[in-house]
Amino acid sequence: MKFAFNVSLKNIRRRPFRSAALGALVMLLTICLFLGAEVILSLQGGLDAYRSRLGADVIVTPSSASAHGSVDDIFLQGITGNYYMSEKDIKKAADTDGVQSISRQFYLTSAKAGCCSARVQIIGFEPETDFSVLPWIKESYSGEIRNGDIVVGSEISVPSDRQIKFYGKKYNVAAILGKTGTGLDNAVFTGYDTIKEMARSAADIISRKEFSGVNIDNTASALLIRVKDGYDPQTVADDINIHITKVQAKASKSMISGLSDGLSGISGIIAVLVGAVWVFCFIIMLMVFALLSNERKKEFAVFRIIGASGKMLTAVMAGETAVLCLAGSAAGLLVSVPLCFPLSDMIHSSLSLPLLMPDGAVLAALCAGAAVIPLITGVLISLASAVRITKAETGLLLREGA
Amino acid sequence: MSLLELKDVSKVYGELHALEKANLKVDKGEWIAIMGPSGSGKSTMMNIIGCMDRPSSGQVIFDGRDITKESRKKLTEFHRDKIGLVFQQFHLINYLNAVENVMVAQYYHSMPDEKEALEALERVGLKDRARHLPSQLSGGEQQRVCIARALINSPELILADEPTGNLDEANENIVLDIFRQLHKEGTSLIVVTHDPEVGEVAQRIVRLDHGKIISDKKNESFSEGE
Repeated sequence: MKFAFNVSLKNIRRRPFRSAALGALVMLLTICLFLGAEVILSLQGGLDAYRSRLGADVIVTPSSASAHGSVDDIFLQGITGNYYMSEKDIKKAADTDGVQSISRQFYLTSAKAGCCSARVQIIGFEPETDFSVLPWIKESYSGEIRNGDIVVGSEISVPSDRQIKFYGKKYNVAAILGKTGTGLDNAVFTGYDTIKEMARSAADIISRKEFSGVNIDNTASALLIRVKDGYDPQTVADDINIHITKVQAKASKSMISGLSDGLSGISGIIAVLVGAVWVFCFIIMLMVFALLSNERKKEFAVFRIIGASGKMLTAVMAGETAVLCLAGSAAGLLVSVPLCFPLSDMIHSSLSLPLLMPDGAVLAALCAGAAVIPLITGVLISLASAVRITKAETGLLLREGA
Repeated sequence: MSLLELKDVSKVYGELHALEKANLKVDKGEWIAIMGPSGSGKSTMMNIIGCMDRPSSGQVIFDGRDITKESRKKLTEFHRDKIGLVFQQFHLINYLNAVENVMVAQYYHSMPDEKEALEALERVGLKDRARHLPSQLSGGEQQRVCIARALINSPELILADEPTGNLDEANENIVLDIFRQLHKEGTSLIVVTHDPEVGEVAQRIVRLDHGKIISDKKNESFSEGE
C-alpha cells in the first residue's frame, strides 16, 4: 500500500504542471464553497440575531424619535437618542385593546466629554418585564444585574478594571455580550434604576434640554408590547397610532419582513452563484479528469498488463485524485479562511446588511465540508474513469493510447 | 508437454477477421517466432495469448486450463503469475525510474523487493542505470528494463511483441542474447516479429497472413549456443 501511495506521489511530483493545474481547480472550488456558505450563514445569523432581538409584537416610540431614524433603525441598529414619552401616553398604550404585557426601555446617549469614558448608546430595560434584552444577555451572563451594573456590546472596549464612567460615575461591567453583527454591538445595557440615575446626572452635569419637562422616574424611550392571543399586532399598532398622537407604533413583523425578504433574496442569489460555480467547477473537473484518464490510457493499460487488478488500478487513480484534492482543498482553505473576516466586514459595511459570522464549530464544519465535497467529487469522477478503463480490453487500450 | 494450445481461435472486429480459426501448440521451454507482414494478425494473436484480449470464438488452453472462460479478475491473476510481456514500444511508466518500473510489477504480483529488482536489472546489464527515468535511457536500455520487468515474477512464458523493432543492431543482439539465456534456463518464449533475423534465431517459426496460420515449421538452423 505504501509503495502504491509512493507511486501516486511520484506521478504527482513528476508532472508538476498538471498537478498544479488540478490542485488550483480544486482550490477554486473550495474557496467558492467555503466563502459562499460562510456568507449565506452569516446573513442567516444576522437575521436570526435581529429576530431574537425583537421578541415584541409591537414597538412604540415617541414621535420625536423619528428625527433620529425609523423605528427599525432605532430598535434594530441601536441608533438611539434622548427622546422620551409621557407617563400619560405610556398608560394609554398599555390600556389599548389587545395589549397583554408591556416592557419599557430608556435610551440615553453618553457625552463625548470628560464625564464619560466613551460616546455610546445606553439602553435601560426593566428586568421584571423585559423579554427582549435579558434572553440575549443570558446567553453571555447568567448572574443578576444589580444596581450600578452595566452589560456592554461586543464592540465596546472594556478597561482592565472593568469600570466605565458615564456622567461622572463609574459603573461595573458585569458582562460582555455576544456579537450580533448589528449596531447593538456598540451599545451599553443596564437596569432601569441605573439608567435613571445616569439620566439625572446627565441632566445635572450637562443640563440637556431633552430632559426639560421629563419625569425621569416615569418615562420611557420605547415600549415593547406583546399582544394577546387572537389579536393582530398590526391592528394593535394601528390602534395606538390613531389614539395616541405623540407616539409612533409599528408591528415588528413588518419591520423584520422587509429585511428578511432582502436577506433571503441575497442569500438566494449567493446560493445560486455558489451552485453555478460549483456546477461549473464540477463540469471542468469532470472534463479534466476524463481528458486525463484518456491521456493516461496507455499508462493504465501498462499497469493492467503488469498485473494490476481493476481494484488496484482504481485504488491508484482514486489515491492520486484524493491527494490532489486534499492538497487543493487545504490551499483553498488557507486562502479563504483568512479572507472570510474582511469579506464579512466588507459586505456588512458596503451593503449595510446584518452579518453574524458562524461560531468556531460551525466554521470548522464548513472547512471540513468545503474540503470533503471536492474530495468526494474528484474521487467519484476518477472511480467512474477507472471503471470505464478496467472494463475495456487492455490490448485495445494499449493501441489507443500508443 | 504442452504449455499453451490455441484451438480454432478467431477474432473479429466488426467486418474484419483479424484471426481465423488459428490452431497452435506451444511446448514448455519452446521458443517460437510468430512472423508475418503488418495486418497479418500477429498482434491480435499476441493479445489473446497474453490475456489482453478475448477471442471471438475458439479456446485458449494454458497449462491445461481454458482461459477463455475465466472471469476478468481470474484472467488478470493468471496473466500476472504466468506471463511476462515485452513490447516494441517498451511501455515503461515514464515517471518511475528503472528499478521502480520493475518493482511495480513485483508489487502487483506479491510485494516489492528492491534487492530482487536490482538483481533483475543486473541480469540485463542495467544495474548502474537503475535510478534513471525512462527518458534518460536509450531505446535498448528501455527494452532491457522492459525485459527485467517481464522476468521479475519468474513467468512460465515470455511474450514479446516486436522486441527489437525500435533497436539498433547492437541492442538487438543484446536482447536476443538475453532471450537465448532465458531459453537455456527453460523459459518458454513467443516472439512476434516481422524481422527475419529475429525470427530465425527461434526454434520454431509460425507464419501468419490475413489472419490465418500459413506455415508452422521447425527452424532447422536453430542452435542453442548461437
